[in-house]
Amino acid sequence: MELLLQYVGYGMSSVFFTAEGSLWLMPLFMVVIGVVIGILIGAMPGMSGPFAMAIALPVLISIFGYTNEALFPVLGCLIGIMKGATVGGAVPAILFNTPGTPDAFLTTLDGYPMAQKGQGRKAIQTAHFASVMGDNFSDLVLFIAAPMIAVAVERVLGLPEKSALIILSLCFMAAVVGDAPIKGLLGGLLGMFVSLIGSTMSGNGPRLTFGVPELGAGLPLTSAILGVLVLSEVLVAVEDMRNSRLKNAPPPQQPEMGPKLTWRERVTMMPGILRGACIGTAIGALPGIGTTTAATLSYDWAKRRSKTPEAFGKGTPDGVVATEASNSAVSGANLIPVMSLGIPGNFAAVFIILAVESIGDFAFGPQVFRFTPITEIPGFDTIMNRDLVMAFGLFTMMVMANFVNWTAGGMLMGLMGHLVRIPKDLMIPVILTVSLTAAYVQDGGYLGLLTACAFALIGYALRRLNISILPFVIGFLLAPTLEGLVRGAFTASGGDPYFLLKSPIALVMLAVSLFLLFRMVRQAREKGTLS
Amino acid sequence: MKRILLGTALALFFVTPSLADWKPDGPIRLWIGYGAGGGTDVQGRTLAKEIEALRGWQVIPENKAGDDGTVMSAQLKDAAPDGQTLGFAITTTYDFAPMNSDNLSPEDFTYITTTAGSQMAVLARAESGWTSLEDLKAAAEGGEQIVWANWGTQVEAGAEIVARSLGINVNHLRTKGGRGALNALVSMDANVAWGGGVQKPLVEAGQLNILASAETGPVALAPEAPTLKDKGIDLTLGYQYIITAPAGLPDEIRDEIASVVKEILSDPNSETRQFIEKQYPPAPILTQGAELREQVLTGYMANEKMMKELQK
Amino acid sequence: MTGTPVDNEAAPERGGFWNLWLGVGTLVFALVSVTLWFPQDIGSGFLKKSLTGQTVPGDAFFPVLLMALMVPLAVMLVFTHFRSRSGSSGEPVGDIGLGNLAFLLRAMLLVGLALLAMNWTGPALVWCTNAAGLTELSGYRAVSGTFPFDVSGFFVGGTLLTCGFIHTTRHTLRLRDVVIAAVSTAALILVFDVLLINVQLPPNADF
Repeated sequence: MELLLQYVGYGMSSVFFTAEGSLWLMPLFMVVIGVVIGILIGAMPGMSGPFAMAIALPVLISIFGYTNEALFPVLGCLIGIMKGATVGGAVPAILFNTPGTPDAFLTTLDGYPMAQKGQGRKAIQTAHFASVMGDNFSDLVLFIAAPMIAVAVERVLGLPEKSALIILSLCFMAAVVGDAPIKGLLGGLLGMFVSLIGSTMSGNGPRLTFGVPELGAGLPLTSAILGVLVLSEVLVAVEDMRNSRLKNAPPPQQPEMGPKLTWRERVTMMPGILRGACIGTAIGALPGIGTTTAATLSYDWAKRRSKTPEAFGKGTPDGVVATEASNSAVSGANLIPVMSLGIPGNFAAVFIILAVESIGDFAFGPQVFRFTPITEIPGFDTIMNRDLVMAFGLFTMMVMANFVNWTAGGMLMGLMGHLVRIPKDLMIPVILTVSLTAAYVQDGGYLGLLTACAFALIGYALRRLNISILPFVIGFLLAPTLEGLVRGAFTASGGDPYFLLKSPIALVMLAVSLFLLFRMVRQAREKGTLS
Repeated sequence: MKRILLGTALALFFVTPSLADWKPDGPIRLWIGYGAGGGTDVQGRTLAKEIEALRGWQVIPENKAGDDGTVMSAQLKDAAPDGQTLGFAITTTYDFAPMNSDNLSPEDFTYITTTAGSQMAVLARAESGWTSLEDLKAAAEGGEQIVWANWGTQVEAGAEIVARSLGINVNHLRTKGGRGALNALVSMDANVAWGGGVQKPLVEAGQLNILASAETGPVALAPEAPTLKDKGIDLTLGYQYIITAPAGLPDEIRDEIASVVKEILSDPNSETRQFIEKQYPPAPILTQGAELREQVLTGYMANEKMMKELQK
Repeated sequence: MTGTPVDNEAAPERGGFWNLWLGVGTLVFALVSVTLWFPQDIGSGFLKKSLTGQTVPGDAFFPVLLMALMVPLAVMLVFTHFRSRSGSSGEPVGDIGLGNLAFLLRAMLLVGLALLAMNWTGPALVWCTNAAGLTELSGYRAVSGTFPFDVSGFFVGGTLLTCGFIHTTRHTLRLRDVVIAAVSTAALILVFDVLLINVQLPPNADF
């Protein structure tokens, strides 16, 4: 226990002080910047947190470099964006009935009627309060659950089980994301396949490169993900704008803001917040199920449990509380699989992992949570698990981000109604140029830029065919790990062809994967017949 | 193609005037054969900065990671030999990797200078209680399955040589880079691993033991641990960090760049030197020019011989 | 960014034969990969003998495994296409029509043109200043780290790219839009080239 507290102490101070002991406010500063950017981005229709994170990551890495010292400022900013965006999405949803982020859609159901009734301020403050509280709750669960799961995992899982776990996660993700699971899983396999280009560990030279030496190290990670996520969305948006030919509607009138939210009202909300936060946290901890599902479930649940279900949809604060508490609670909990297993479950987590993999020598996984006794050797150094300090530093920044969200975020949200909207038809082309530049700068030349373009085409095709992109991205990201694990398991077993089926845990996980697969086919046939 | 034409034009431009005090025409690109953020990268970048400060040449570091520097080298080979495109990798890239490659040969490059050396050692987890190769041998003979983590064909071959000399059976686990091998060891996917230098913090923390050194002398972290040679195993796996250029680089340019690096690394206040002293102790290793070329070519032949004997 | 609830309005019928095409396409891709591409372009096979005589996975091990997993999924996709009732086509799917392809072609042309401008503005500028007698440079490479040559290509190409896409979305291009494009590109130069060191804007890393 004492050791735990010592590590927590080191972790917290590592955010504010440099290794030499001088005060260092850069991480705090970047968290603030991140939250502000996140709230603004979240409030813009058509933009979302992961979108901003994708563009911010290469820029941040260019600014702070790749050393261990860069980790806190970069991650601080990304975490700030992630958290800010979930809060910011509510403002246009409430005031103008235009959700900034997809998960804020349900906030419009009750938030907009509230604003129409002259309770705009109250609605925004309700959304903000519920969001921040939900976020805090799920972070708390993360701080407790991630180390525990990690320790358990390290005890129990060997190479075959780790391989099976990744396979299971991918199947699960394909099954729950989007409504075309077979194609989603095919996309996941394709994502895995393209990430195999170039890199080999055998020393027999690169593979599948068509003889292009530049591809020897594989496709550049950040550029590829920037392409498939951001650029493809940009292409779709540009095409839609081109085809709609609609002139911009005049900026909507801001309704009367009305009175403030009282502390009494806040207290009465707490049970609703807790319920929403629990649902969001549970959903967030599973890979692939996003904020939208969490918000929907929570909203339905609140409506069913309510004494006045008829008030839902007509402007009750309970509806806003239910959606905002749960969709914000997703963002902390989805870092549980990331931090304990290294498996991302949604796009925001993808960028946290990308940042950690690009910068310094810290890496997520069970090895992070080893409680090495701290011993100080005078005149030499203090010996401890620096990864663990890093992890607690990360937790500290999440708490800081929540605090900034709570204070500065509140003020910012009050002002948001007055902000001039940047026209989307100008902003999207600028984002395109920024993204391509970022890809070039980050990944050493035209290779990065062209990779981003090629992946933009893949992403475009997936989007237009209504195939979920998430399995593709996660497959792309995890394939090298999975290949290492599978090959390792095979070799370490001494070349046993049934190496994956020898362990009961792995066997169970594979059986569940198979079951999910089976369910997908049935589901696909049913859906096909229904329509 | 364009790059080559332009490069050739530049090379011609430079062959005519006196090469006595060579000066680059525009920026020098230093291609680092490893990913950003690692030890090689930091070393390369600080060196670039100090060359710029010392000579006023503009040196732009670029990362071209992959396969222990071979991906970078495959591109470097086709660059113009004008001293403005340099590579930074390890000697293994040139004295071993070309063996398995159709498009690389040690003759494709000019070897300018080494900067630092590895701390190659056999590692085991402290909790396994092994402190020497004898302990490892005893455990294997006691029926324990030995899994040895490595990151490439050369070190895997080295592990096999050690295993054969000890008369034990080993399963080899290939991981991604030195850090991967270390992670496999720590997370108990392997029980022995090679370490080239990244093991330092974990050895200092008492989590890992050094069983033996694979350098010509003991490693700095464990001065009392024997070398493999001491144990009667004829094997050294140490490598050096090396700056290279495409073949055909004029000797004057080669020597000029080598002397700049020497000047920097000989200065006790140099940031690069201090980094090397800390990360790759005890001190920089400066083998340059013709002598270095000799070392790489002999090393290549020795490695070829080693692999042939193993496959017998 | 993932589909919003309102986003899935595309009727499944619109997909037509897409499930069939995707399934068959995947099968063909797997076949071509395993029989032609992999043998040509992967250094070691599915399994190989290691130094110790052990059988270990080769570089083709995992790719072949992936292909082997793709095949049953593709077959299922084709299967759902035929087994579902008439009037539908299996799993829900969107559509990519000729209009979409035309748009993509246009987008690719725009990006290609902008990249050409990026690549050649710098060398052209060097040629001009040399011809005007202002400089005596051996080529663009010599000044690929010197202002203003190093950012000239990016400025022109970046502005062109942004303008091109603004025109695509708005169908017109006002002077204001050009200014916005130029200013945003200049802002990028400020961030990447002035504030940051050791960062190379396009096209400088390729010279």
